[in-house]
Amino acid sequence: MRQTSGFISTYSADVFGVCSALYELGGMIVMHDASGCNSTYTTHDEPRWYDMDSMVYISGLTEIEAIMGDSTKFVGDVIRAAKELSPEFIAIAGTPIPAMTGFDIDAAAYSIEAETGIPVYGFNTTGMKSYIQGAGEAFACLAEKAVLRDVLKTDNRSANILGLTPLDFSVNGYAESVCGFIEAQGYQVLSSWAMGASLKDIARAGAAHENFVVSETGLKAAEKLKEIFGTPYRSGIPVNGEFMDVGGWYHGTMRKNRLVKINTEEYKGTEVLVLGEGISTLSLAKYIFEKKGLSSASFASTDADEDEIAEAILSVQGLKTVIADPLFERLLKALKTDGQIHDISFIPMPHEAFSGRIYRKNMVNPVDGFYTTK
Amino acid sequence: MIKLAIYGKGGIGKSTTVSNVAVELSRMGYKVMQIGCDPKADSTLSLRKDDKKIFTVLELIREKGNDFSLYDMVHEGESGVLCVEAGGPAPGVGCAGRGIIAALDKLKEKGAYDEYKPDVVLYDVLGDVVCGGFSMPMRAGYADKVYIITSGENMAIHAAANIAMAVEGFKSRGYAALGGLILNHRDVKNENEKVKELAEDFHTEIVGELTRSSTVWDAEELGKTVLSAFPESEMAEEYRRLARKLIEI
Amino acid sequence: MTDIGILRVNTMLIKAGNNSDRIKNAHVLMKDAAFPSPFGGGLEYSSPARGTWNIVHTGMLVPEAHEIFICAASCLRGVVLTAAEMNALDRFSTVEVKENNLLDGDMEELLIDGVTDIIQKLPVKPPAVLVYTSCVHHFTGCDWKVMFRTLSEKYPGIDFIDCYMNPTLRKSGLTPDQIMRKQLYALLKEKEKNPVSVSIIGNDLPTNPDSDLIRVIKANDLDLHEITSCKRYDEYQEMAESSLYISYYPAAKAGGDALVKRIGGKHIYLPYSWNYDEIRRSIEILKQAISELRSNASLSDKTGSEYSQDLTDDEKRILECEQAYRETLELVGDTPIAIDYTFCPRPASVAAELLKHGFNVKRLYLDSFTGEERDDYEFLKKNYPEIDIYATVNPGSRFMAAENEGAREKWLAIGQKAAYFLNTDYFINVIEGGGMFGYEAVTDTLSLLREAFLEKKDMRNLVQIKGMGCCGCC
Repeated sequence: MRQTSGFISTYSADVFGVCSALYELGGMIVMHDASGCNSTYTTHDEPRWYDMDSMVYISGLTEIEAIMGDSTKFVGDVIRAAKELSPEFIAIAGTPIPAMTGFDIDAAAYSIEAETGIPVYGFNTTGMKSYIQGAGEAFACLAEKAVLRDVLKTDNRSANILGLTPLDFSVNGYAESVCGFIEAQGYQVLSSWAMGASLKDIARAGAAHENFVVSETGLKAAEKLKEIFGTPYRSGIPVNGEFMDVGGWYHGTMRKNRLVKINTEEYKGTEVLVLGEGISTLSLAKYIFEKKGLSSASFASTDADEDEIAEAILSVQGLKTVIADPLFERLLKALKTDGQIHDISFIPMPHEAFSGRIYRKNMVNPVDGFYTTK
Repeated sequence: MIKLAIYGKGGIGKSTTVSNVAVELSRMGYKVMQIGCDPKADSTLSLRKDDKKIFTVLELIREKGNDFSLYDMVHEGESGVLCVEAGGPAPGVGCAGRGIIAALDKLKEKGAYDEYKPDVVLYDVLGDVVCGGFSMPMRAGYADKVYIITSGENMAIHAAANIAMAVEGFKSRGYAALGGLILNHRDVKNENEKVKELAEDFHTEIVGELTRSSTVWDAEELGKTVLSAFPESEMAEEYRRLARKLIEI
Repeated sequence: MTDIGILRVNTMLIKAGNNSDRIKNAHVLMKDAAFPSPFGGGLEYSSPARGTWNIVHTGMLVPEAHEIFICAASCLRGVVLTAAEMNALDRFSTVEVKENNLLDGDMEELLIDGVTDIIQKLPVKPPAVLVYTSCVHHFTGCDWKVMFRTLSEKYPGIDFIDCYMNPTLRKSGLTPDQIMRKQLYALLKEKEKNPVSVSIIGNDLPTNPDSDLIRVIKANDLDLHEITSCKRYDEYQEMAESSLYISYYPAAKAGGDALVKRIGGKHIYLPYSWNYDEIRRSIEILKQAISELRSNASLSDKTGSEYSQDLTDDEKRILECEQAYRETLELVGDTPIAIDYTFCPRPASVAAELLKHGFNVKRLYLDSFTGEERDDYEFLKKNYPEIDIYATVNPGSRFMAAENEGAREKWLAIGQKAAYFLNTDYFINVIEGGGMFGYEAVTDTLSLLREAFLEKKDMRNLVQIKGMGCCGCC
């Protein structure tokens, strides 16, 4: 049945994507929620929480406030905290109950900004979509609001890297490797959105000649920068020293198909399936095919439920190997027990947006450490 | 304890009818509690004594958390009718449905039924039953019977049919059964036939009829029930008949 | 969105000290601290100290039971990874609520069909299923009676119990913690009472066998049950035979009362305390209850006998406590001490007793005092007005750890949050009282304090383990 999950975890949600995207930029991020969102996000989805201070809070919504549609407490609390803590900006993000009761996030943002003079961004997240959407909105907001308009392109070749959050890149040096790789290709990296970058860096992004989108979370921002500054972009991640351009499988921010087979030699079937975030799985599948000569496919699982993922696995003829977060292995075992699949090996590739911190010590850095199937 | 829930299109005359029925039942010797289930909190307006403002249950929760008593929620009104207003959010915000649930839960939690031991409880529910919370008064533990007030106007008929369908759909849950329709005349064409047809469609009956009368508006102008303002009137007699009918069913 | 133009230059926060301005509203001296809440409400922060249990951990105490959570993705995230971290995914499943469910009004069907689907997929049918609903169920007017009646009719061999992950309603009645500890025992089916069966209820951690509580019970030849020692569902059900139920964790009290109302027996609540008079009273209540039990069972009263008297000789035990205080004070001297509310339910009581015995308790990390702590609060306010009360959830609390006080001065922290905020590796890593009760709580904690003074712990990694004692792998 759709929406049920007997065996696997769930991806990080949109509201957490907002927090993760904006984490390092000096702002105050408030999730409008009763309780739970803060500990969930900071425990499982934010590896920087212990070592890097960031102002991420929860509003402490109560039943009566939700019933009465009372936004005065929320607005008042945010204003008070902002006056005490002096953030560079404020972001407010919705969760299921405010979404249900039609809480006007934008109106709240307006009131807070009017009172504090601090820029406030409202995100109509619902807690019912994936982190890709939330982080995507957050980066797009930066593209719209934080990037200086009247800029000249740099004299030298320069680029921005869009879509960097620990949800996709952990904190094992992967993000730094991506930046290092782009630099090694002869680019000056103006800003990396948004790990290891400041708002000041991001403000310069319009001056770049090109943008690199390394996760689907960066696509909306890339489109926005293209619209405003005419900056072209490429999508993909570097794998074992080579950039895997996968933009051809996207129409703007939309992936053409959730399941993409890199090769089309149907008689051979597809030997390797990579599950996970859209751009990274496509890049890995492309690497496997082009460099290892194995037919491969990518399934973007970040907004799929267990049944859809199982269907995708079962639909791939000739499948021999699945590469995915370790928590997917239980699903494979269940399918094997049911007799629906046979002899499929599993290669774990931890993904923080799925298994959180559990396998952090085993995170792979594909830039130079992607193990091959053969 | 006789527990009845009254539904019907907004403006059809629910609160007016329920308040008059409540007064009559109270005068007959029954202890009556009328609970307004509407964010507008206007069900018991005509029953309130000189000080027209009462705190709704949700206002009390908002202002005092749980630090208030049953007696803050329940007010004695005209002819000893015990008045309660659930209350709810202002238009355009919040969640009124959840508000009804929270208010009824709070009444129960504070022991309203155990303390007052009313003989009759009347739930006066707002016009458009748009989400789960508004079905609360007809759930197990609340009303045993649902009555729908309607006229022959199409909008009222549609609303009544909608509510009747909901009641029908909830049959397997042990919710309140449909007790019948109350025809509140608007003197539109073929009114009797249309409402009779509605009753037949839902295998129910018209348990009472109320004439369209200026006496009702005159009483409203005075801020009183018809039974209080014009006890000798024909309209008052109609309300008495309706009250007796509802209590005997 | 408003047009905000150019943003100001960012100052990256990282861990930098000098946050005294930001912290100043997050602490208050005891003399100025209001009861029960020294701090007003507002936005809330969540520290990385995670050791206390959540509803996933607690629910798993029912042996062989399966947990199913039905909620939105953001809510599921925390619980599913809790289950994953405690290696309990084989006892855990989810049903994800999407926007269309809220709009279509099919939340009840989603629960019924989702739970059905999961049960059908499970390789082995569990004897019990804990079905956790969420805030959205309350806001869409779901009818719990209908949902659970339907499930029970579909699966007569499975016991279903309604559990709740509904923090939006946390101030609308019992707290989520209280509700969980109540529902944990709501699966117990009424059965004939065993006159010599006793159950301790409401704890996440097993009660220390050396505690006065257990020693009195054992000395009276009573059959003791505790959910933490049940390995099978039928063993758990045996708790329904108990004639006496004992709780000492505050959040368990409501559950204990509800339990005996439903299946009979007597419930006594013995408040955790370090105060000798309170401890003595608790043991008296316990002895009295046992005496009644034995009398009802026509057994002779052993509580007054020499045998149990020796074990619960208050004066002897107090002397042991005093000795432990002396020994510990000699070691730790005037090392500043901080205590937090995650260590035990009565941090103010612990503070009061340590202070009376000459320890340098300088801070309490708590956001509010419980009703039980009123006397301790008054005592501290009157006699130690300069104790600093630090909030753990205040927005300014975010910046406390960066002050790195534990590096500048040796602090002893009793509790994970105190350790984290002070950034000290000298701490007692115990949550929820650690199963200690009575005089033994005093002596054992002091022993742990001596150990903490002498040996550093890897605070950073230890405090981040979720649900301490629950097989966390991180």
